Amino acid sequence: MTRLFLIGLLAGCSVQKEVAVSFGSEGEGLDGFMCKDSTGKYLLDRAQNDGGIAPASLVVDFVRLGGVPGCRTGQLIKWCATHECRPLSSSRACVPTTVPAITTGMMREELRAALLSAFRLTGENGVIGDAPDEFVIVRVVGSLESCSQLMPPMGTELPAFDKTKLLGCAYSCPVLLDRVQQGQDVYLGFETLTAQCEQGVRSCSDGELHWQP
Amino acid sequence: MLTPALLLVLAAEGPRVGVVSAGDEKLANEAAATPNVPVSLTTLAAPAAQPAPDEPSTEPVVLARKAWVSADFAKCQQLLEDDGAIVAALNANARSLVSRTLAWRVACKLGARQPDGARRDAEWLAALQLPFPEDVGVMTPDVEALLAEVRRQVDSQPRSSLSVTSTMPGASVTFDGRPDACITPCTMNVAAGVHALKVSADGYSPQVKAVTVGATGATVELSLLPADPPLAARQWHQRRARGTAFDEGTSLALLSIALRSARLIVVGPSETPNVLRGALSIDGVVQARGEREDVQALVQDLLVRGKVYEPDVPLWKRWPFWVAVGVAAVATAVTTGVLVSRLPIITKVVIRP
Repeated sequence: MTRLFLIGLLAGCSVQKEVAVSFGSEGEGLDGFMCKDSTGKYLLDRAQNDGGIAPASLVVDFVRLGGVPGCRTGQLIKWCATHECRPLSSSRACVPTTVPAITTGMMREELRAALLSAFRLTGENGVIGDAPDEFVIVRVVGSLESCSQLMPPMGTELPAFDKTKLLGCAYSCPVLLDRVQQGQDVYLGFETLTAQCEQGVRSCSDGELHWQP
Repeated sequence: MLTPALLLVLAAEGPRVGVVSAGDEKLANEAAATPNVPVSLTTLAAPAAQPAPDEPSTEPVVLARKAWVSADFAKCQQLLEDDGAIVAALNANARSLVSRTLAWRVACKLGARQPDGARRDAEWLAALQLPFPEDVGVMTPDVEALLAEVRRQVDSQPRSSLSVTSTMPGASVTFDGRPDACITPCTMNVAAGVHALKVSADGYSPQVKAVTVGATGATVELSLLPADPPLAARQWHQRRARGTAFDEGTSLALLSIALRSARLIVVGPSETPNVLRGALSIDGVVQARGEREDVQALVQDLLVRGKVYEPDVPLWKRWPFWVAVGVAAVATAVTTGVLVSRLPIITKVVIRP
């Protein structure tokens, strides 16, 4: 009887914690939002229109990997080529945001600071959701599509991103968020060697993390 | 000084305990009311003193003397002809009566002109090493002369060896009416002739036997049988009369037989003022002794130490309890650890750009 009571008591308990995902204190994880297309234009330029800055969305997904692959882009792409990598539909979060205006001759570091500032305002909206109890990568995709377009109706599959409206992408290493120590941020980043990294953004935002030629 | 009177006897039979009081009813009742013991205490009566066996009668000798005076030697012989009576008188330590009987048998047979028979009786008297009775003074001189001659003759002959053994070693041997002649197994040098042996021990029925010892000696083995309750009661009273302590082992064994009780507790005053002393006997063997001021505490103590019952030990004093506590503690720790390690974790993920 005592043992049953103890089990019942403990079963009613849970550990509550909070983990933050971050682009880094200096915005060093924002490289994926500073990619250029093959014509040499920032993807962020897609938000520029005659009337000013178009509204955008930041979509946060927990991408199930079916295992624990390495952290590098190549490792993830290779892993997902043979494993089922898929965002969890029930945990997608989407927050509206506004990307900074791109001005002619704008330096890369200036853009990074402007992005960081804009996303900080967006981040004040707070909680993304409850972390799944498995290894996932946290992925943030910037898109000109609205949250209403990107959030699936209940019980349906996640809609794919419109690749022509992508603004940027960043992701974390595979992580078991429940085991991240309190106070430790999960960093987002994007590996690229060149500024022309649109292909990487397309692969990053792909529903199955497959390589996008 | 230990008071010789027995104050209290408790007798236990199975779950029942009898209480016997021989002097202090109040103490007996108090002991019988001992609480918290899983046996019932019952007072019983102490064994009554058994009458001593009748002394051998001197009447045949008196009548034989009168017959001899009347020259009725046939009647004289007839009155004294029972050899068994002589042996019985010897075993009853009536050595004077035996001496008189044999002397008158000699006188009667001499009067009846039976010198051989007279000599045999004279030899028996000499072999028993009994002094001549005063009655010899009233007999004819030839009787006294024959007795003296035969006594000299017997005394001049070498002694023979008589070995006595018993099934219960340590028994006391009464030889020709002389108590404590030796303790079995033992060997004595005796005159050749017919002798009376009696082997006795407390708790056993004495065994008697007439033994004819020849020139080459003799060996006698006697079997001792357990005493019946009346005899045990008599032996117990005899020991008490000799001042034996009321809780002495053999006395308790005798009491056990006398009361037909396998388990006994005796309680009485100790040498220390206001302190009671007691002993527990089971099947005639003392299992526990103790001293207490309170008779009920003493009874409880004796019953526990004599393992009549085991006291209730508090749960926390039993080792299985602590083993169970340890096991429960370990199980609880393990269970708690397992459950804690499996507590659901709710992780809120927030953006911190």
